[in-house]
Amino acid sequence: MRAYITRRLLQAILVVFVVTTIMFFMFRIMPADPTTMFLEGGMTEEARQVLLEEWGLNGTIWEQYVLYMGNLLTGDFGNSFFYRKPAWEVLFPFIINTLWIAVPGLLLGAFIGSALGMIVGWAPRGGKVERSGILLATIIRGAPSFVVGIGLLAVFSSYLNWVPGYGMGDPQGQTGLMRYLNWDFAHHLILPLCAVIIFFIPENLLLMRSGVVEARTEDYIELVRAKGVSEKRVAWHAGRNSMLPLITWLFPALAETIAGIVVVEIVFSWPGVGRELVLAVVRQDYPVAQAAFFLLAIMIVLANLAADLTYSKLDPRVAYK
Amino acid sequence: MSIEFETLRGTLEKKPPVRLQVQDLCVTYKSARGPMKAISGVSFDVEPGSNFGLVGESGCGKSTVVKSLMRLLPASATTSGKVLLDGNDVLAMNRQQLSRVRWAQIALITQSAMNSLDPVFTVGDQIVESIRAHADVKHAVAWARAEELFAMVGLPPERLKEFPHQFSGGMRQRAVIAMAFSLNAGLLLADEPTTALDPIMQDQIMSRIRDIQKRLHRSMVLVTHDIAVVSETCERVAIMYAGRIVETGPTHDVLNKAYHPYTMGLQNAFPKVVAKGEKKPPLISISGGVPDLANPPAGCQFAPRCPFATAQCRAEEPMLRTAGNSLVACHHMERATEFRRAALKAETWRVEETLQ
Amino acid sequence: MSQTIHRSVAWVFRALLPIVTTFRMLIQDRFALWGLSIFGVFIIVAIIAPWIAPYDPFAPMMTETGRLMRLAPPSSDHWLGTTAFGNDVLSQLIMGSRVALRVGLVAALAVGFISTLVGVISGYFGGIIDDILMRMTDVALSIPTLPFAIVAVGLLGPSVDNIILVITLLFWRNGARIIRSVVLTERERVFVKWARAAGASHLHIILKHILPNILRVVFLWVTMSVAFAVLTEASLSFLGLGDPSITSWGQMLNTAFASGALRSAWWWVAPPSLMLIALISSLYLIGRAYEEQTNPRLKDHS
Ligand SMILES: Nc1ncnc2c1ncn2[C@@H]1O[C@H](COP(=O)(O)OP(=O)(O)O)[C@@H](O)[C@H]1O
Ligand code: SF4
Ligand SMILES: [Mg+2]
Repeated sequence: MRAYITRRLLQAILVVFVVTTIMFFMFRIMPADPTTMFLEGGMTEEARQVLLEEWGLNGTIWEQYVLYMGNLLTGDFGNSFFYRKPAWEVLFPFIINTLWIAVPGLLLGAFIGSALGMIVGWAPRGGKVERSGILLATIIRGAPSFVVGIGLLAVFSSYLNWVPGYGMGDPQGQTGLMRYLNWDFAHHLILPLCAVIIFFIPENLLLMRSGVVEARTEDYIELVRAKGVSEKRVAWHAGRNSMLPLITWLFPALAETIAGIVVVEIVFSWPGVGRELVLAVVRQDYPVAQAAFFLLAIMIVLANLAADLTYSKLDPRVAYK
Repeated sequence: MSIEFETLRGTLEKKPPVRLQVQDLCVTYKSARGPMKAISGVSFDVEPGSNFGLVGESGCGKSTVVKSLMRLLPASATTSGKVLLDGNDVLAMNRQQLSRVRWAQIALITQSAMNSLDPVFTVGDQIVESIRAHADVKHAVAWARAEELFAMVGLPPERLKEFPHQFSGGMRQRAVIAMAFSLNAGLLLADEPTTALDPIMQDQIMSRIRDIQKRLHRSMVLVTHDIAVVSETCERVAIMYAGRIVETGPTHDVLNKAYHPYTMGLQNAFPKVVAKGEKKPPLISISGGVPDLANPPAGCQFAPRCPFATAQCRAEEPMLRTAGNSLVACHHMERATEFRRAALKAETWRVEETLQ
Repeated sequence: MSQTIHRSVAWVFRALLPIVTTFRMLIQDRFALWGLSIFGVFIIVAIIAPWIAPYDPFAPMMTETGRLMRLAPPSSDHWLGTTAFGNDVLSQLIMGSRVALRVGLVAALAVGFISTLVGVISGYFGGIIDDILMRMTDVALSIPTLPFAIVAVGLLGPSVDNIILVITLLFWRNGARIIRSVVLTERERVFVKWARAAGASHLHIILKHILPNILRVVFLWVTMSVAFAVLTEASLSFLGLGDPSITSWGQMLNTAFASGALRSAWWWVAPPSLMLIALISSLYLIGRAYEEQTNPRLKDHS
């Protein structure tokens, strides 16, 4: 077990290393020199050099690479061109904001989606519930998350005026955890969270449904039914078994589903990592963009790790190798 | 707790064996090629505490009969007729009545015990689930009962905590058997309980089922295509062909004095237990396959493969009629003695093959 | 020479056969039939777009008094009203189908090509080549999709070609995995062994025995890739990273959103939203039906 985790961790670190490297070179082959953006025309060559030095942009690309990776190890992502302070300091609060919508959104979406999937999967084949369930799920799955977000915004914020549609509120004088544990924050959280949940529901639903449909023809389901337990309990056996394929899909799919979160952050002006990434790219603030990208990649790698561990918890047949 | 456990055991031990009466059972599957009549008018009785054998080639509808006794057939199947458990019709029960009868009165040992256990629950929990669905007892009490059952089938009780994949095939089969006895149901349905196992294991498992069943005095329907197992186990037997019973009666009579050509053919296809010194007859298989039930032939279903078929056979369906101690569905059962002699010769069956 | 032509024509026919049978199978599913019809309508609209769009999508519309028609509600002249910049929404909507389908189809074909190439090489040859390619896809699978697209398009510059390039770079990875696993089973099939024993070349085996059998899966993956590509393009455009010289649905939503017209101008917001949902869902409907039909365990028999 420990050896297994160690090996998976090492693999994860290797993946992060490669992704970071790719990202580094991607940023360095960009056509524009970032200094041209921020340096006024009349700047002396000397001042330019000082700035390049500060940003780690002098020397050959290999020297820059070694320097950058070395700094990364010490948690130094470089300084933001835009904010003029360390990129890490800029991003840190955004990470928490992102987690606020991503983690509950993912968990609730997976929960609601798989519960609905169990119902649709257990419904009679070819019946109304099955057909409309599949059709609805496919249509919602086909709705880009910004469309869902705009829809929610238009209805609940602009039209009904129930909840705010912008930002995450600004609790006066609150610090630490209290920044988040207040009504104002919750009020702001509702819509973006709903958008993320809606984003996660359909795929979970469809996967769970296929799993249940496959499971319900299994022999063990027949035996469970023969035991005279309630039909709900029989459905639970099918659902419990279908969780396995769901988990294998769910976490790796994060690479794709992070996309939904980025877009939701933009639509609701939710100050998260994804939104900051977009802003940084638009501002050509590469250290921040790089750091944000790095953080999102880490989230995916960690989620994959979590998937493996969860899977082995859920499926007794998996042995740690 | 131990008091609770003794109470549970007490009530379970007091359960009488069940009388099963199946009357005119018909099952039709909806299939892509139209309705398929898998079972046509099957009737038989199982006396309390006796063993009833159901024999036939694979695909003749044995599992369908067994499943319909517990109403386990998929929604694509329509069932008619009566399945009386001590007089109560299972097919007419509502959901609640049905779940009360399942496992408490009829338990099942499935055909593919390999896949009959849910892979993500421990074996013990699955047995406990069956007990607690019917008896209002604590988990620990049910667990104690499961330990007792495991001991009964010769499995170490500590392995209850393990998952099905940690068991070998034979152990899984024994676990399924233990589960079938968990509520000491009055009627046991065993659908080819040993097909998935190697021959030695088959023997062991079969004799274990026999022992337990005899000791606990339960009624049993045993499905198999192995005639030897039937002759060792069952008082009465029914031979099925294409969803119909073609011959039924006391096992000894049916196996030694068959009236139906199919029964004769079936016996040829199985190695006989012969007295020492006697020559073993060669195995002869019946050529051809079971008819397409979505598109059944007219007349006797066996006619296309029967070496004695006549024009009448191909036109009229034979009804079950009394012959000795048995009931037989063959137009020409009066000629059974002649058929029996002919059936022993391999040519009888081979000739037909070339004719087809 | 003529024999070569004859042989390659025969090959093309044999290769297309699975696609035809797939298509036949799909139209038996009601949902897939809807999906195919909707997708077909989009293709037709995209082809004839310049002829049916009533106005130039970027032309400012003027009122009779010579003022810019800002946010005019639907009327007989402008069926879907106008934008905050006085552009005709319907024209933008119709022209927008072109970008969506161009990006979708070109990127999906490229994705299909690369996935097949990597999947076949990896699955067929196995060993070290397989290891290397699969480790590469492992890394690629850890790259967050949209963030990568945002950064890459930000760096390369927002043009349709760059968007297609980035999408291709992103989506080959899942396809390669899926196709590889199919190739693995195909390779084991008896006739491949037989062909190998008879001294057939690798290329011959791949082209003749493996490719025709995996085309269905490739077809499915290409279908799904069209959906992913359309979605990614729309997302990028919505984020303001689309090609500014062309109208697209994502971009329409971006401008509508940025000019705060969400509440006032439903005619500007709703149509591109619905178009995106319809197009992407139609592809998913096709893909789903395909999975349902090919997975025997999902077939209706319970
Ligand atoms: N769920 C089902 N749907 C349609 N046909 C079925 C189904 N289950 C069994 N059958 C058909 O019913 C016939 C009897 O099957 P079965 O009862 O399993 O036979 P046996 O147990 O004697 O081998 C077979 O022809 C089989 O194909
Ligand atoms: S009825 Fe005719 S065909 Fe059928 S078993 Fe008897 S002899 Fe053979
Ligand atoms: Mg059977």
